[in-house]
Amino acid sequence: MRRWIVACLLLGACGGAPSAPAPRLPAPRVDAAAGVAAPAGLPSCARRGQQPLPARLAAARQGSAVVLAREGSRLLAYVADADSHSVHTVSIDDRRELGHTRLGGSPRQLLVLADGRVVATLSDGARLAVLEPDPDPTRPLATLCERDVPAEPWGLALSPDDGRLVVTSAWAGTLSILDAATFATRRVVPLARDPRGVLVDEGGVAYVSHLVGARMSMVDLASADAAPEVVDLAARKSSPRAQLADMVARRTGSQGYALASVSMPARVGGEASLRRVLLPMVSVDPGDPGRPSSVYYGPPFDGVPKEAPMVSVVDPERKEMVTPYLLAATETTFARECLLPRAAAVRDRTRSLLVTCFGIDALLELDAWALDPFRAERKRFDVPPGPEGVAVDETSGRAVVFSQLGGALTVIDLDHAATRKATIDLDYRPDPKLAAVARGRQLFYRTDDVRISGDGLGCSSCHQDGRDDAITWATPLGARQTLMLAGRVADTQPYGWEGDRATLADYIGNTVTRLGGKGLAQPELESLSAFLLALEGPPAPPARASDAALARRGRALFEDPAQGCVTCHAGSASTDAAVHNLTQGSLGFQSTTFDTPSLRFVRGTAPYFHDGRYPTLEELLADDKSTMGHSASLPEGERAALAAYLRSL
Amino acid sequence: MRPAPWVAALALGGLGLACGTPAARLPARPPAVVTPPAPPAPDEEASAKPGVPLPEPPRVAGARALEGFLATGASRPHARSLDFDVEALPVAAWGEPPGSAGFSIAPVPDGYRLLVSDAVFAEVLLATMPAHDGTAPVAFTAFTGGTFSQGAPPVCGPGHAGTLLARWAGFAPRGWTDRGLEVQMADGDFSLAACRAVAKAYVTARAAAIVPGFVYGLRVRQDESNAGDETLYLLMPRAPMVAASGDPTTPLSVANSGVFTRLSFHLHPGASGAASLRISAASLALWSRLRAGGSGWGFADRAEPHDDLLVGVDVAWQGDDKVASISFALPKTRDAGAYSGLLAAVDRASR
Repeated sequence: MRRWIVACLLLGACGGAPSAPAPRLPAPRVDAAAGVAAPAGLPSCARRGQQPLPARLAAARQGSAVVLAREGSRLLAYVADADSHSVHTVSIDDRRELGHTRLGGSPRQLLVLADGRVVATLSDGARLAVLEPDPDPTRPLATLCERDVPAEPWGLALSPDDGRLVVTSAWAGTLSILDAATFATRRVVPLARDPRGVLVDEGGVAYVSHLVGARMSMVDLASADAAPEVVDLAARKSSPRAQLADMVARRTGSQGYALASVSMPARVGGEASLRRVLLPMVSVDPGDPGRPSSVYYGPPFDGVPKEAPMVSVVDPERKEMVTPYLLAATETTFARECLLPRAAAVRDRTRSLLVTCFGIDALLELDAWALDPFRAERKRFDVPPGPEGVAVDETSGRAVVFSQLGGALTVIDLDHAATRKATIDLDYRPDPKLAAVARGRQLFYRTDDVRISGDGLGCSSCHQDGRDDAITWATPLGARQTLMLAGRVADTQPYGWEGDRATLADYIGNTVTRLGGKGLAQPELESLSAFLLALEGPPAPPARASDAALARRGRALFEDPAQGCVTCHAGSASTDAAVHNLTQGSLGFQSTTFDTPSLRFVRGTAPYFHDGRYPTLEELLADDKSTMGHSASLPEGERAALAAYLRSL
Repeated sequence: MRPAPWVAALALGGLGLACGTPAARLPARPPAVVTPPAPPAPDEEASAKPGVPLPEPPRVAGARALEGFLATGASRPHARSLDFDVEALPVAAWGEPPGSAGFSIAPVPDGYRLLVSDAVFAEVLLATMPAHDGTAPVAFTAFTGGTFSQGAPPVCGPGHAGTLLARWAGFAPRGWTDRGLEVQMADGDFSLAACRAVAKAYVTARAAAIVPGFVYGLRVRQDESNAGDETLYLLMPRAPMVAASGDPTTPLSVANSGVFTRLSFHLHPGASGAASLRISAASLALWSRLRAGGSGWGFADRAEPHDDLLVGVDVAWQGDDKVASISFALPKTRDAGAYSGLLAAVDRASR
């Protein structure tokens, strides 16, 4: 009994979430207004008006939190304000907001279609919305239709022929391929966890960034069933002071929100003929989990920080990084690094890669042709807090940055940057719950704050948007996996793997001390606690009947006292708020007692266990060497049911 | 294998003589000094200084501006990039060596004497025989014309037997112009009995300027006809800190720095290489001294390389083409005057 209890106790999280299969569509009907087929039973997404709409910019087929369109000679911006559940329409030339549109969810990215309609991912659910701007831009956009997609839709892109719309779903871990005329789902491709940004190249291949795991996925849109290919973005470091073992070790990655592509000439002054995919991220050295570290974190001794900004540059033909090396020619690290890259865009005319950075609240202009553009920074521009998106108008040389936390738009003349920067305050009306924790939210996203860490890291460095980085870190107490916080901290005290902190504020205070920070004052700790408690978990994926039946079987097993799961994972928070001893598999230096973690949202937090030893829930449940119970001896079907139930939590 | 720690070594230069204790690249470097924050550029916010409020407080009722507690220290310097055409650089092939090509190492009471036959300023590398995986760890490297060495000098002379792999490369002030530089390189065996390396393969060619007067490049192939496999060599001023891509078990096969810096990038389809290095104002002065026929004797660099000019090199053979660039970034804390000649040359080359 006891062994089984611990087995359930240490389920860390789960990933590799199987996506929903492509729905079987009924025979399409022809939509007379648009001349396109719409799936029966679904509302048409066709335009209702006849007048020309503001036109998207040439070749702009990638979604962003801010997108541009041209209405005659006037440049407009549509802004996805997730906090306010709104899309703002802004005149860039007049530097004022023209109007805003309330939506039934949190818009994450927008994309302007060829005919001027606007698609929005609603990331707090499992839908995307198709909107039609009004000829009068001061009036709200009309919602033409909504379509179901897997949970937490995030990134958007169109194929070059505008025939396919692709949508990443962050929590579900999928790429949906939709018919761009009818918005009917043609295929849902399962991906590794946390896909975010997406773009499609001229050959019809979709490239997807992943928030965690140092990887990029490639999906051939023309294929009916080809599995995605994965490009490894793990870097090695090189430094005059690095030790050999460190130079050989492969790092991992984090903060893979965005990606962009650039064309470049093969010869100096020649025609653009080469293509590269650029993925701003953070290269992470978590240490060797098999060895204790002397400190939790801290400045490096060789000039290469544990978390260092890096743009992974991929040759799409070879399907690999052009160079995997992270170089540092100094012993000291830079201040004000871009440790939370969030959005990216390319300005081809000046071969610039523009990257927005949370934490330091800046837009960086980098050399897009460099093998690591972060090593070739050209300019940086300060912007209001939380730069969530960036768009570029090649014609006028302006970059437009949307700052979510500041509720503002910044227009930057890239060719005359020193004097030409304007901020446009938006009609920012965040959800009152969010507004109440704004201070803690800003603290959560700050980097380079000496109170929080000694090496520039912020809370969101490991807990991106309150989630986890899927990394197992070497610590003085042994290997420890980052825990997911969003939706998981309410009623789950005590906190930390050791369960030695009674309150959230106490735990945060201890963490910033471990990070080498000088410490936060109690009001700030309380602000952070309030923000974490207000953080909502990921949206629930739509339940499929077959999954539901399996999960019901699994729930019965889970709640069966004979199995003992609920002895520890009890109540709505699925934790008994107690510390348990676990000796199996621990090295001498490691502590062996652990707090029962909550199992909420366990499906999306692979790998599992305090030391991340299990890549999947199935492997955890099937380990016959585990001291945690009898799951390995259960029939495979029952283990599958148990896993299905855990994924439903 | 990583090279042995720096050891005291004595090299004699001036037609191959130099002596003294190693002045730079010692392990006992004092802790790096954190520089004061750079003065903000016009487009940078004032909050780089602690205590200054951030300019944009959250625009939400009840939330106050966060106090500024930003870390001090230099942020990344802004870079200017210069593309260069690898295909336009001279190409040479390894061939038969002249009979005299080689170098010798002679122990003297307080060090050793290094004599290279043809190049005035040369680096020599000695490596053990290749292991089964093909790696050949560098055991010793030194530069003539200065006091830069790494690893233990070979114990050689009567009574010793065997050979080490030897490679050396260098150039001379003669014929050194802004547009080009005569380079000699050789591969051979170092006899432990004779304390002498004899060349087995040799190449001499004129490297062309990438940044006139400062950075030169040359491609070398095993034979003229093999255009699909070559090594790009870049020669430039001494860099106290060099980080380069490549096999970390043989770091000196991709970069080395003494009185000058040599970078090597093995190029074939799909290959790439990158380097990041720091060039100090003193290094530029040394470079000028070498060109004027002087030596690196007595050279001493500062111990604050994080404050030096940051140089990046990127080379890739992508698809059917080679693309390359070199970038220069000067920290705001550094007086630009010492680098004005180099940066002006970069500007001229960019046009």
